[in-house]
Amino acid sequence: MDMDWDFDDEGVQKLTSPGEVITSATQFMRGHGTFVEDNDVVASLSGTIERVNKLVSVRALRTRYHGEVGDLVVGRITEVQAARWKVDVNGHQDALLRLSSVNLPGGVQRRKLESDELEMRKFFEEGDLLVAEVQPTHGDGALNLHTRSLKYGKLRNGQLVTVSPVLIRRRNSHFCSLPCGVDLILGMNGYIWIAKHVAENQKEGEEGFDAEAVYSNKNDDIDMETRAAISRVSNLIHVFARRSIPITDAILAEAYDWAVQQETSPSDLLRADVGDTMVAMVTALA
Amino acid sequence: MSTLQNFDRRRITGPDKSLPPVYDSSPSAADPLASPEPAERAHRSPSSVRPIFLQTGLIPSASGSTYLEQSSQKLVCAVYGPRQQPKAAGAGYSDRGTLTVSLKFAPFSSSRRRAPNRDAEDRQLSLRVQAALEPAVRAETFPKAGVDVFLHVLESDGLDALVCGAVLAASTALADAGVELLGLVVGCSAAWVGGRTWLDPSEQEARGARGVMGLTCLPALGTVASVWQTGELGLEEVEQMADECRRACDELHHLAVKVLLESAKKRLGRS
Repeated sequence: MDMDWDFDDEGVQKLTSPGEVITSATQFMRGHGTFVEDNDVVASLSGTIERVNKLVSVRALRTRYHGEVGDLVVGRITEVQAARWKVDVNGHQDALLRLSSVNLPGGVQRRKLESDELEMRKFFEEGDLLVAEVQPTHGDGALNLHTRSLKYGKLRNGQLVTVSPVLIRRRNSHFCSLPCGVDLILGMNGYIWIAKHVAENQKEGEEGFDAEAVYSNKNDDIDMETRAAISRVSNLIHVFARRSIPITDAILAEAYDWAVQQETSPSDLLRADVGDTMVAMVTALA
Repeated sequence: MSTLQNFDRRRITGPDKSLPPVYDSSPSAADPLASPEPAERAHRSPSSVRPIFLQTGLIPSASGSTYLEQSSQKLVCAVYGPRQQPKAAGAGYSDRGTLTVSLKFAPFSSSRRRAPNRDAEDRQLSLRVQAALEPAVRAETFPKAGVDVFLHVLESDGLDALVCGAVLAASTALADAGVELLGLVVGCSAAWVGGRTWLDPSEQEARGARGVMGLTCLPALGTVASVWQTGELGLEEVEQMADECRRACDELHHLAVKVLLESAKKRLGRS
């Protein structure tokens, strides 16, 4: 049997469409995006065929987010319920954030009181953005989140950009700072938060850290330079996402330098010709 | 001032100056009802389907979308989800996801104006499209969530052909959205005119036919998803028409696969 059924003549991964027979089920195991029909492994998604030893799976080019434990996600509160919040994380269902899995002002060890349950909107309201980590999930595929670390919590001073979740790769840290004075949070669910840089001595646990501001709804003053940097980074992400290029802090820093060198204004980056030259330059360097 | 107060906001007001529409000259001459069961089909052969243009990714905010054009049949399909569904009263727990299809006509989509929300036909057509898609969607892969399919008809010519076009557009859009499917569903309609099968009949042709049928299937698995029939047809006639439909469906399936693979290549920058 031809062993190269997952690659075409030019050595690139083959594409498939729903209902297409990939290979024989007697020799291979079905993974995500496939099913078995009459001793054949059949694709149920349109995308690239991936094979790890005997496991065959199909990866779609565009999907909603499938949560995994330990993932860092950026989400938006959609509903306040009894002792829990519903959070939109671009998944099949809204994720759950329990009152017991957030840090309340006044110390990590503070007990949750009934009064806290009555003032849940003081912490998170509908429409608020937050960064959280995925905990072990429910049986039905709904995700549980927690923000029990000072790194997590409400987001402010920035802008949200959404891309396809397949463009975000898992990595050591999803909190990145770009040299241009902008902080990035790359949510595994494809939600990216671009915000004003927080100085080292104002981070959690340091002396400049303002514990009262954790649940604040007010933005700090952001100067024009930072605003331009944030919009430039957000436009760069749009340009990369439109061309299905995985988004990392390295590629963004590279592209940002190029954009500054070329003296392109943030809005110029969205023009097709500028975007093409930028992508060609940056991918050639990588 | 009084004219403003009497202004009816539900009415779509036209421009101040307007001209009466100009219709094609003498529609009665081409009316097949004038001469029932014409022997020859105008403009194309009996076993041909109107040429199709199909493209994915028209609506960036949707999870998946397609645009389908088949001469005077044009429709846009957008798929959202799988996503959280609003809590339905009395709905119990289900470990399967839901699929909802909503087909809507634009007011200008037919020869007679279709009033938005007053039209009863779109609900019935939505159900027919849903019946065709449901066997193909792997609803067990998104428990408690739902996929919403929205079809917007910009121009229609023949309702049976419209259902088939809608099924093709919707299944391609579902695949584009990354919803797991057992296979792509495609459909083809046929009319029995003058002892012959006319595939993909237009509205006028279907009106002159003795019977019309439609068939949707999953050519990749060789299974039929749904069949419907109107008018007076014998068993052998239906059998012959179904065979022709399935042959046409195979070709449509090739087209849909080609469109999907090409859009995937484009997205990967391999074009």
